[in-house]
Amino acid sequence: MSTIASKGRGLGSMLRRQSKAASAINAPVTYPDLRARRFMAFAIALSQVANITNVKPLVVVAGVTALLLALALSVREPPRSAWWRMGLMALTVGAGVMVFTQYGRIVGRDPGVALLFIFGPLKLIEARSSRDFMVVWGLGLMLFVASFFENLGLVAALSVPPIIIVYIAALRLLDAPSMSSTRRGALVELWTEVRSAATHVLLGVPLAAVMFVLFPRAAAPLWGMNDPSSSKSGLSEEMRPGKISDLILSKETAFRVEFEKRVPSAANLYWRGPVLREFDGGTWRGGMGSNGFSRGEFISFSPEEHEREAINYTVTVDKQESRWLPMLELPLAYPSGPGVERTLYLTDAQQIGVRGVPNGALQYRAQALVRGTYSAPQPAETSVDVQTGPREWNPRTRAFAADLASRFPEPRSRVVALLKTFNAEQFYYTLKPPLYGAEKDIAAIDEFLFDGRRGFCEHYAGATAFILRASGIPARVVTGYQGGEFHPSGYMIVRQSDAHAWVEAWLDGAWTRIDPTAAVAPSRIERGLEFSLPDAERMFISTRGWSGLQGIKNLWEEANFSYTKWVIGFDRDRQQALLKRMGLEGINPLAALGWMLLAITASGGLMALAWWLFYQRQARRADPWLRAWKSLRNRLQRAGLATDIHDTVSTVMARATEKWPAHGSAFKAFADAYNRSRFAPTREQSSSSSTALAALPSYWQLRRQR
Amino acid sequence: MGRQATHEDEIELVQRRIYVLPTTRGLFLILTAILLLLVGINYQLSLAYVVAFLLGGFMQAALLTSYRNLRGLIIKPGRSPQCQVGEPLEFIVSLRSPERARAGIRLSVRARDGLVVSSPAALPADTQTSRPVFVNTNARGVYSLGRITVETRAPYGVVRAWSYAHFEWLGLAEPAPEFPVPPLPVTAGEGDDTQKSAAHVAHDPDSLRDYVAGDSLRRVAWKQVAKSGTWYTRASESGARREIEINWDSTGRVDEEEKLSRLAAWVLRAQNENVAFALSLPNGSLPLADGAQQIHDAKRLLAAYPHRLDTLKGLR
Repeated sequence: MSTIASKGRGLGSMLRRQSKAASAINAPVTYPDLRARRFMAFAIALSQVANITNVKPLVVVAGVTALLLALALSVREPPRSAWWRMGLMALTVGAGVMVFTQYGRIVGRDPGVALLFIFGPLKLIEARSSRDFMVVWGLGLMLFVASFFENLGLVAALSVPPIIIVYIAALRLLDAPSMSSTRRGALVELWTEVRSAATHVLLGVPLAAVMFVLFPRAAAPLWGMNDPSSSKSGLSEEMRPGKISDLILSKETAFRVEFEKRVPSAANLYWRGPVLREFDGGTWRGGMGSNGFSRGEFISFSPEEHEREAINYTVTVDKQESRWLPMLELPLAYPSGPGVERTLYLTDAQQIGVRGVPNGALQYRAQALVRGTYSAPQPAETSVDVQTGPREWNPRTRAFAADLASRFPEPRSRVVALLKTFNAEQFYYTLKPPLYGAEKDIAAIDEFLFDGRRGFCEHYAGATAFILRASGIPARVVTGYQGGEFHPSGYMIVRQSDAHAWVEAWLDGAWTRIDPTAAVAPSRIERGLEFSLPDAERMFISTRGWSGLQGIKNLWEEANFSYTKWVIGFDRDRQQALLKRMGLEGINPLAALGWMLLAITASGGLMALAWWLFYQRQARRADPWLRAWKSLRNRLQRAGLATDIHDTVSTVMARATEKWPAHGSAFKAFADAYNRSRFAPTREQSSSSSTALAALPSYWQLRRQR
Repeated sequence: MGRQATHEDEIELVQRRIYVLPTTRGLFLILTAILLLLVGINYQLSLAYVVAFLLGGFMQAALLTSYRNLRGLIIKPGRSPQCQVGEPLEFIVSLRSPERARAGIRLSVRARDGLVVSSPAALPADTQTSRPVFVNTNARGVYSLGRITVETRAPYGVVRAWSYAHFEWLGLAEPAPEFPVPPLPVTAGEGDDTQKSAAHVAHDPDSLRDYVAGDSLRRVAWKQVAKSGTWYTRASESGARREIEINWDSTGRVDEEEKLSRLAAWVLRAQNENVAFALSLPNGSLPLADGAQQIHDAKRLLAAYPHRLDTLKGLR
């Protein structure tokens, strides 16, 4: 009976084993091991880093705290108690409330990013099954993609592959428990997993590239994009001398321009930005409320003029933070580009505005006629274009203006006289002017014009506009960029240091551009800022310093430019143009889908080929004798000799000799040579594996003699 | 594919019998990619397109990886398992992996009482391993393993690749011996003194013979071995070898399963008491013999009833 009893025990253990095995697949909700949990936390951390400047500081604190908490708690499985669940629920609600108080709403883009920032790690705290971890994974990936709302630059693009690899590796680790016990071994193991993940991501790249090119681009957004309520200022809509000098010293690229046929001369490179029309005696403002949205009309031109002079160009902005698009003076039509067409408007000051500030990369094509004037009706007496602020302020300048007006009653000659004054008297162009109007701006312009006489474009533009207004000529300050530097590969870079301010005066029924800085420092306009500065200051502004550094910079610029052009700016039009060049002109979405399917097949084939090549190489690297033996074994097997995996060379050769006695000697020779190569005391090889293999009968010979 | 059982000794998984489909996790990944694509379309974020398409490309690579994880795998059935009813039958499947390493390969079989799954197997290149598939038995008789599903979700869990291997492969569940074990049958027409009548004494009480490989160690005459250095076997444990005949009609039971139970109990007792027996059943008979092979054959015959063993296809 003892046998039965022991069998009974065996049965029990067998059943247990079986149920364990069955539960492993029927319910694939197993708790991932510590390594997988930590790696997932790492992935979430990377997504958070990508967003760290895009959410409010309090959200950063909350998100990072949640992640650290998740990391600390990851050591063991989360408890199942009701208290725990309620605590987590409270944390979740708390996070939601905090986001609401920070952003004032809970739906929308920015609060959404903030919620993702906190909920990813919160879910990680709670995650138990591998399904939960997949949710964390999805949240993390969404968070990473959300960082593109703010950063679309080359750095963001370069971060895509590593982060995708990390996320794919995290997927891999979910059901691959760590085997190694030593720290070093664990690292090697992790590295192997990450490398495999990288390989598989790499294999997917061709398909991704084809999809990127062929996937039909939408002409308009799918759902409404809400405008962020507070617009951040780039090139500011406010001007008080001293503010723009920060901008000038920054060598950051403001935007890049590609001209199509004609290139305007350096003196005509005025990039129109915010127009400052309101003046309160101290500060020039853009006038958002009163006239920002009053519609203007494009300048009139004849077809011949257009044919002869129109300049077509494409502007690529890395980070458009202002509502005004930089436009070459003066625009002929609305610019076109992804995401801008439907939100543009033209003001009566010939500026192109966007309704929602993109706060990111932007690209548009535009047309311009190089003109310094555009006609407009005379501004009314109450217009913002004539106001000079409190009458008591800047008395000396007002007196000067009155004197000028009496001496030159004709407005045009008055302007010329004013510019001559700037040119003839001792005015200096400098980036380090003294402070004017320290007390409440009451006499800021007086101090600049009569005491300091040192300043940069904003000082001159502000003073000129003020004098003109005080003498009865409507005038306004235009800010923007002037100039640009041609990059070796043919496009132009306009840097933040090219920021400029000039004046428009209403003369003879048209607004006319006047650049007082040109009168003070003509080279500022002709040759760029650098040449108009004293030597001591030039050093700080120079972008042309060391040639080696410049080379790297050029390379980076070029990469950035092509990236922006081909990845960021790859819209409907550019897609059509590329397809046309590829001979797929006028492709409809259905055909594109067909091509994509073809691409899927082709890339599958490509992957298989890559693998095959990889294994071929692997095989070539393997020991030649082992390779020869394997190929021979295959040959014999196909010819009908049953071999088993554990058979030795000698036994197989002996059996082959039995079957094909005619080749006995060849078989024996191979076995001997093989064994010699393996077991001979000296490693010298009496014959090569290939010659040994060649001496053996071929598959066909064996078939015939069966 | 795989509906028809094959009598072949091994099956190599080839392209046209491997299927691949995304798992729930894979569908989740695709859903994420679609969501990211929508975000990209709406906000004109090219990098979101890039991420979505990279995920798509990866999905394809994962599809191929899972497929390659199975392709070329060689499945080989083991011997026909045999067990007592109530215990699980252990079908041992051996897997051979020529040319490349594989991971996370599971075998599953749809049995009468649900899905049965083996533990996952990982194989380095050019190696062989085996995995048992346990099938529960709740009635005596012949069990056919049915179609084996060979599947893998490795290495990402986003794609399930599977294939079928359907062998003609039977397992046998022996009848449970009756308990308490009844005494060995009495030869017809005599009293119930089994010692005297059922088994007759074949040899002298202490007769020894030379040891033959396969003899039970319990029957080795250790004293004599120690004295002489030569191996002897006692001809019978109790000094006498008994011989009985176990017969289908001598059980005194009507129900077939009860008959089989009693027969199994007798076989068990014969084994324990070292009695040689002959067995005759409607589906075959065994000549008089003893030893492990006889026991095995007898149990096999009992399990297979009412089938003749030579008519069963799939006994390996």
